[in-house]
Amino acid sequence: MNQINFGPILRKVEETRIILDRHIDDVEVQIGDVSSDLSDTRSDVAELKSLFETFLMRNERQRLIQLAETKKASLKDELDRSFGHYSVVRRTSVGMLQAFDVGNVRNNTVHQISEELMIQTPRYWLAPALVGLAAWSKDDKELAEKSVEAAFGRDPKKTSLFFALVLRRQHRLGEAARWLRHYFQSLDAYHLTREFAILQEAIAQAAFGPDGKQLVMENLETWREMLSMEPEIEEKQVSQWVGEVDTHRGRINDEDFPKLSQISPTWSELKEMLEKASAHEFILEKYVQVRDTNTPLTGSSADRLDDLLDILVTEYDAEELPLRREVLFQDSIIEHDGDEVRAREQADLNTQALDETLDALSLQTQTAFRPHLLGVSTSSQKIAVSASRVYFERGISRYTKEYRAKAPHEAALDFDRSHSNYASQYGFTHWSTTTSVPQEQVETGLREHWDSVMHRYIESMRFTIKQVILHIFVAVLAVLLGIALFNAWQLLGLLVLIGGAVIPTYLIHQKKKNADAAVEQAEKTREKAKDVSIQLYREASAEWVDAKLDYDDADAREEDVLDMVKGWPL
Amino acid sequence: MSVRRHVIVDAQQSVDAPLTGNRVQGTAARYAVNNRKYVRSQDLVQVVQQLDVSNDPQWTQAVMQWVRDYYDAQGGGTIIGLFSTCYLGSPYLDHKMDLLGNIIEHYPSHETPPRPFSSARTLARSAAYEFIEIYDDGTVTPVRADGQPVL
Repeated sequence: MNQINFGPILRKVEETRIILDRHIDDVEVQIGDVSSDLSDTRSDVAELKSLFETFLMRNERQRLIQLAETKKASLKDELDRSFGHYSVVRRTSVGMLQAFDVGNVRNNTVHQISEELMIQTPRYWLAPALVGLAAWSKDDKELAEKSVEAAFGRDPKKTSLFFALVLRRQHRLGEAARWLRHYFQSLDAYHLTREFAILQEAIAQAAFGPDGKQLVMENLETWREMLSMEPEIEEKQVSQWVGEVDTHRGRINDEDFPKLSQISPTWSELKEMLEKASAHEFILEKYVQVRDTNTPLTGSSADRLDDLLDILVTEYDAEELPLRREVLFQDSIIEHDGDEVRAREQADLNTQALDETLDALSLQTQTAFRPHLLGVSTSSQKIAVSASRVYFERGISRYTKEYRAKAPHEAALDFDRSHSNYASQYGFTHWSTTTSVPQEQVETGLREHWDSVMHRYIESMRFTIKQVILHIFVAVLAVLLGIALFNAWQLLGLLVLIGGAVIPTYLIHQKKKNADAAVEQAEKTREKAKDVSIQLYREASAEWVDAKLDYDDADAREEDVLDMVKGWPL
Repeated sequence: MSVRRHVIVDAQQSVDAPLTGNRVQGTAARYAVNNRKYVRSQDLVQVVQQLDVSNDPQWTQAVMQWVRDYYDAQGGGTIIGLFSTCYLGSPYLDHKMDLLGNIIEHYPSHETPPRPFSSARTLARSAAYEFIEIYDDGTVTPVRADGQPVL
């Protein structure tokens, strides 16, 4: 019987195995590359998503800004169309008062212009008031009386104040005081209109002399006493001061605390506290500036009076207010970079300042917040802050108390599957702690948790006989079949025998090799994975300490604000 | 950290949100709340500061009676108790003077005081307040070292 030489066959099989090994190695390398590329791609996609969202938001805000600018322009056009002639009256009245001073314009000219304006502005109180002035300058008593009555009929409050100011300017103090008394009689302490703020300006500027000032102070004091008996009105002042402080809070970006904001589920609460506490600094800045603004009372009486008259005759009329408010809202959108929600809040607060009626205390409060909206100067604002300082103090105290009551004394820290690449690779299960737990305890706990995660992963990857039971079964079957065939067809039997033994053995070998490699890899990266998580914990903890220090610093500024309010010049 | 000035969104929300859920109703209750504006006396502030000085039950009872009489005389409504920082040292963080239960109890940081005293704990942590008053209407009022209440 011929001897079968298995040498070449075995060599061939060995060569094939070596080639296969090489190919598999190549494939493994490629898979590794693909896996790494995939991970990079994933983070690129996440970054792209975030960039895209930011872009969308900016784009939308940009669109809103453009829209606001267009609307503002059209509103201004409408204001010009509907109320442009009011501006003419305002300009003329200023010019007329100056002409009276200088005496270089003939009475007839003044008279003629004022009569024209009277016809052009049928509802505006200032036009008949000007006719009255012109008639007075011409000594036409009958026309003067008729015109004054017409102006008084259109707007008694403004007319009284206007003539009080004009007469005071002409050194007719007795008559001025009479008009002032008319003015007060027309007022309701619960429903004061904006021009009362102008009267306050008069007090600030000492424009009415001792008698007028006495009259004003008496009325103010009576109103204040009357209104402070009503807790609701007092409460409203405190609430408005709380709102005023709140509008000055800063904004914290998550990027300032990247790790804490990443892993702390309670970050938003802490962020809110930081933002709330930051208001002290900004409110202090605003009101110190108000307090320290130089508002000299040494200018000539005529100049100060001019300012007052100027405000009275140039301020917006009630009819114009809805349009003016809409312009303010559009301004607010532009100012807030298209953030419509914040713009609405700001505009609503501003609208309160422009509200038609306010009680005497609220008027002080609004003057303290936004004097420019009431058409008064910083000197009025100073007086208003002084008059409201009880409510300012209570407002700042309450504002601070409200956020302090919610101030977190620790931050929760959550480590989930996404907190690091290793965590997602090895199936990290959720683990949490807080900043109150001692560092050593946290780090030990985190390491132990990682050990259990890795143990579970390694056990799942480790090679076991169970994984190849099918391969063994196939190999045994093939060997038995090969032996059975060998008697009839030697070559075929031999091939089945070899194939049946070699291929499953090879596959089993590969499976074990892969499993061992995965286990080895996991063992190698175990410490690295722990270090990444520990480092994240340490950085988040350090950010927590920083945040607490920032909070304590900002919170402590309450005392400075209170000192400023208590020491406000009377 | 950089804090940027910006006008916030929910000003009104915080204005409307009271610290405690209970809104005081009725004229008598409103009158009582209005009566809480007075400046607390320095005697009261000192008494609260010295709660840890002695644990003699007789002394404690006398102090609590004094505090109870003080608040009764002001007509600011029924006070349940006071909550403040404890100076006994670790592990104690704060303590309550329960004027209804007639007891002073000290709490370590890991132990939560019973309601309604628990609501005063965060405020008591602030160095700005000397102690916290807790009323039966749920109002929590911090008092500063100069006796000024924060209403």
